[in-house]
Amino acid sequence: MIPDPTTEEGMAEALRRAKKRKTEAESARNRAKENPDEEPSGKLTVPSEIDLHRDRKNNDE
Amino acid sequence: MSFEIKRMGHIGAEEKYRTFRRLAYESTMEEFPDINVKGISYPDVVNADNWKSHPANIGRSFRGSWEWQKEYSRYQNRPNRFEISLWKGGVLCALCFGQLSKHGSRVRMNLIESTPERPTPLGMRALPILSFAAATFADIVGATELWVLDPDPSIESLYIKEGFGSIEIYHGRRVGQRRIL
Repeated sequence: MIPDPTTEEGMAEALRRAKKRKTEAESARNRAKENPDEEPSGKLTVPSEIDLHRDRKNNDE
Repeated sequence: MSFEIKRMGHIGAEEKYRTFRRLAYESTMEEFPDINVKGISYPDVVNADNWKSHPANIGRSFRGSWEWQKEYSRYQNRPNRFEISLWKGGVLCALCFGQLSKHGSRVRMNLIESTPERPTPLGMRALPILSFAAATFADIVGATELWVLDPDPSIESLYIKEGFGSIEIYHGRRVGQRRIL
């Protein structure tokens, strides 16, 4: 269910959900700081022309 | 449905998802206070496309298959897109376009690129930050899966470090790595 941020209840629910991931933050920070220059620079995804076309048509699930 | 009603629906959806993205950015910046997290503007995609002119000795010589400027307008027409850019000290360091699936169960990260500059001006790896922000966006919209589509196979293990599974078939037609939230 997608909350409705235009209502007080919906916004409160969205804010509550935004905090759900906080428990993982410390480990994400540690991973990010570990060997910062070892992450390959550049395109981290490699879609083909067909894949890009599918995304443009916006017709997959 | 009249054009006007459709237009108003589009504006409402755009506002709604803009709020969700803002909440995801704010939550990410609370956890990575040195990093500025924003959406993506047209000057940003021009900036990112200019990375291809970085000398190969300070960055990569390989360029991927897309130009950000070409994809920008297509994503801007989708209210339920996930978009993010990471900045440090006023320097663009990484960006990603994705989208919530039609049925709302999956958030896809479709296009991801980080700066070729080394040492990286971000001062840390981009993927853990992008992944954290995308998972937060997914939580807000109630999606239960986060996917990176068409991941560079040479960095499958880096995605696995971020909680994604091995490369598998996505929706019967392409490949991706899935993180169950």
